[in-house]
Amino acid sequence: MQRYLLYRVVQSLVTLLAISVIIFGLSRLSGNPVDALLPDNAAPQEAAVVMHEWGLDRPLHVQYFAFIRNAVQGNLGNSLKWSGETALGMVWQRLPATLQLGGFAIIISTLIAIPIGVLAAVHKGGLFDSFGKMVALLGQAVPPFWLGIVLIWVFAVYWNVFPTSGRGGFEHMVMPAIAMGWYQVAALMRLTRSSTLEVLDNEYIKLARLKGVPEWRVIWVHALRNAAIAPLTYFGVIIGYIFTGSVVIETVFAWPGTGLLAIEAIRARDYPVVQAVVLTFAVVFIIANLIVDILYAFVDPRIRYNDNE
Amino acid sequence: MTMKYISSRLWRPCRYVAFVATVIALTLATIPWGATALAQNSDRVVAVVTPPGLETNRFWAATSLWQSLGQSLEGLLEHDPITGEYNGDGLATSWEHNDDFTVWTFNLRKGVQFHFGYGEFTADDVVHSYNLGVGKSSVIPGVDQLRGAEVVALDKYTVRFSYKKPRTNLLYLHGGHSIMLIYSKKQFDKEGLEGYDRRFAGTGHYQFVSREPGRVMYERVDGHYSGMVPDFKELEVRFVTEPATKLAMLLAGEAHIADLSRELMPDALTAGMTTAQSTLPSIQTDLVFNGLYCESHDDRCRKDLPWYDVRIREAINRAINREEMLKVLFPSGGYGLHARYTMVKGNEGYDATLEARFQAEYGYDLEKVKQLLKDANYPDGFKDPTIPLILTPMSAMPEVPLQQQMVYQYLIQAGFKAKIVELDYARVRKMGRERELYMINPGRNAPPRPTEVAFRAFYTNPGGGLQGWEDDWTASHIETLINTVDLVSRDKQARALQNYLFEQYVDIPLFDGYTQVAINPKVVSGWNFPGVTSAGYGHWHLIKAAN
Repeated sequence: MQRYLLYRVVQSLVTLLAISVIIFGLSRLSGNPVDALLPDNAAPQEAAVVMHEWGLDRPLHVQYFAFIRNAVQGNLGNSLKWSGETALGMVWQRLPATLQLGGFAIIISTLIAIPIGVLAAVHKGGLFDSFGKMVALLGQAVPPFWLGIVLIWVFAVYWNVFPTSGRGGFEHMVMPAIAMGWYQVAALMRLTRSSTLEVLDNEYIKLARLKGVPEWRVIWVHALRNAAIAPLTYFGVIIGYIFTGSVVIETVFAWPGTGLLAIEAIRARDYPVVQAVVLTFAVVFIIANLIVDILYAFVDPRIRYNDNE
Repeated sequence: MTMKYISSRLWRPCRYVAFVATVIALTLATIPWGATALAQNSDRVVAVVTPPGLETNRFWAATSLWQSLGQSLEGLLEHDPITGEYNGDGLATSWEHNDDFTVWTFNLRKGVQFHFGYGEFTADDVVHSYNLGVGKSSVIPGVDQLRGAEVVALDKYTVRFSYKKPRTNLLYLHGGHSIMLIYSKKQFDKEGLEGYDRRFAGTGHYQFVSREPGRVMYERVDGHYSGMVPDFKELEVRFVTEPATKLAMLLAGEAHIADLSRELMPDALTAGMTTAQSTLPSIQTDLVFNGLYCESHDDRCRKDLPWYDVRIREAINRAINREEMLKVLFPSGGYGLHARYTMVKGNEGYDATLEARFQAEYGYDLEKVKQLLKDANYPDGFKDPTIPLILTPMSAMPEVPLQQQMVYQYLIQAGFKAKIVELDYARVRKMGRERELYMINPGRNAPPRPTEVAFRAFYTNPGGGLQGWEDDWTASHIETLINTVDLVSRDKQARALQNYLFEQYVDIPLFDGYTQVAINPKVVSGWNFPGVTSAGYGHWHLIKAAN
C-alpha cells in the first residue's frame, strides 16, 4: 500500500510538472497581457517599460524556470491585473466559494443519481428505467449555461423563490448547484444503473434473497455496496468537472469563485492568476483521484494494494 | 418468513418516490422562502453594473473604477448634472491660471469633513492624492498629462499646480473622465494603503461600508457639505458579467438599476421597466482608417492602400446608411449621429457648420459613390482593392460585430471589394501599437474629451491602436495648438484642424451614444447624470426614489 501511494505521489508530481508546461505555454500563446491591459493610446515605449517590469521581455525558458523555481516555494507570482495581489492569494480568496458550490453540487448529484440509478436497474424496462433514461438524455444534452439561465428565469424571475445570483445563504446555492450537477446526475445515474444490473445477477444476491434477507436490504446494502465501486471511481472525474464547470456556472450566477476569477484573468491575460487557477484545479483533481483510489480498496474487499503489486 | 418476503417485494416505486419527495421537501423547508422579497429594503437601492477592470479601492490601479468608487470619492471639480459643466459646487470652489496655463491655483472649500472622522479636507489631501494618482503604478487615462506638476499647498485651503508646459485642459484631468480623486492623507499616514483597502474615507454623499467580490456597499452620509440628502439610505453596487443575469436581477426585483446591454433593453421595457439616460453623450463611435502613417519621416505609409485616396475615403463614408444602422443596432434609442469625433459643443474649435454640412458631404448616396469610384479608377487602379474590416468582440459594445457586418454589406452593395477580418481586440491593439494595422478598425469607442486631448490621442505619432490619420499638416497644427496659450488663437487653430480633418474624410463617424440604464420605476423615479465620467455614470446621490 505504501509503495503504491509513493508511486501515485510521484506520478502526481510528474503530472503537475507536465501541466505547468502546458499552461505556461498555452497562456503565452494566447498573446501578451500588455495588449489587453494597457489603454489603447499607450505608446510602444510605455508597453516596453511594462513588459520589462513584468519580466515578459525575458526569453520564454528563463520565464518558465523562474516560474517553476518560485512555484516550488509557493509563490506563483503577482497578479498583473489585480494590483498588489498575489496570484495564489487571489485563488485562495475565491476557492472557498467554489468548494462550497462544488461540494453542494456533488451532494445534489449523488442524492438524485444514485437512487434513480439503482431503481432503474431494479425495475429494468419499467417506469423508473424510462424515467432514468429521460433524465440521462436531458442531462447529457442540456448545456449547463442554458440550464442555469432557464432556472434563473423560472425560479427567480417568475416564481421568485430563489435569488437570481450572487453568493449568500443556502438559497443562493440551490440553482447554481443544480445547474452544475445536472450533467453529473445523468452520467452517475447511468453508471449506477449498469453496475447495479451487473451485481444483481451475482450468486451472492440470489443467496441473500433465498435466505430471506429483506429486499430493500438486498438492494441498498448488499448490491449497492459492490455496485458503488464504478460510480465511486467516477467521483474523481466529477470533481474535475465541477471545477472546470464552475467557470461557466459562476459566470452565469455571478458566483464569486475561482471559475469567475479564471474568466476575468483570461480576459485580461493575467498569466500568473490563470496559471495559479489551473494549477490549483490540477492539484485538487489529482488529490481527489488519489483519495478515490484509496477508498477503492476499502469499499471492495477484493481490491487490495500491497507491496508486491 | 413468507409474509416478510412478500412485504419486501412490495417495496414498489411509489415508496421510493415518497422517500425522495420527503427528502426534497425537508430540504426545501430549510430554505427561507421569500428571502429575496424580504431583502428588498425600501431604504436601499441596488445597481447592477458590468464589473470594472479591477475590484479595488485604489482608484489609480485601473481605468474604469468610477462606477464603484465615485459614490464616495470626489474629484476637485463638480459637474453640473444637466450641462456637465464644471462648477464651484465641489471640493474646489474656484480656480485660476496664469497666462500661459502652466500654473493653476485651486481654492478649496472650507469645513468639508472626511468620512469616519478623518478630519477636515485640506490642501495636503490634494497633494497626497496627486502623488497617488501619478505614481508609477497609476494607469488612469490621461495620467501622462497629469504628471509633471509641482503641487504645493499654499495654505490650508489653497493648492497650486505648476507645470513646465501649458496644461490648457487641466480642469478635464480633475473633472473629466480621467479624473483625480481625493483621498484622506490623515488616513494614509495612520493606516497606509491597507487602510484604504479596508475602508477608505471619502467626502461624497455616500460613505463606504464594505466590499466583497462582486459587491460594494455604501451608506448615506448625514450632513454632506452640499446640503443635499440622497433619497436612499443605502446604495449597493453589484458587479455581474452575464447580461441575462442582470436582466433577471432587475425583473426579479433584486436590482433597481441595471446597465443592460442594448440588445436586452427592449425586454426590460416590455416588462415595465423604464430608462434613465445621461444628459450628454458618453461615448462616441467612429471607424478608423488605420494604417495612414503618412508623416513624411515615417516609412510605414502605404500609399497603395485604397483608402490612402481621399475619394475612396469619401466613397466609403457615403456608402454607409447611418440612419438605417441606428434603427437596426439601437432599436431602444439612446443614440444619434455626430459629424466628427472631436466635435462636441463647448469644445475648442467647435464648428456648427460642419454638422450642417455632414449630411451633404457624408450622407448615404450610392450615385455619388459610383462616381467617386470611377474617378479613383477603383478597383483597377489599386494593387489590392480589398477593404479589410476588423470584426472583434468589444467589451460593453455588443453591437460591434453586427455593425461591422452591416458596414461590410454596404460596401459590397456599393461596389467595393471588402472582407471581414476576425481579430481579438488585444491583437488589434498590438498591431496598432506596432503600427502594422492596415485595416478599418471599429475600436474608437471613447468618451468625448477636449479637442486637444483627442487630437493628441488619435492624430499624433506615436500613439496606440486607435491611430488613424497622420500627415505633416495635421502634426504641425496639433503641435502649434498644444503650444498656443491664447484662447482665441487656440480656438482658431482647433477649428482649422476640425475642418481639415472633416474635409479629408480621415475617419468614418458613426454614432453618439448616451449612457442608458434600465430602472425599476416602482423604486427609482429618475436619475440625472451628465455621462461625462469614464463609466458614464455619476451623481449617484441624485438617484430619485419613486415614493
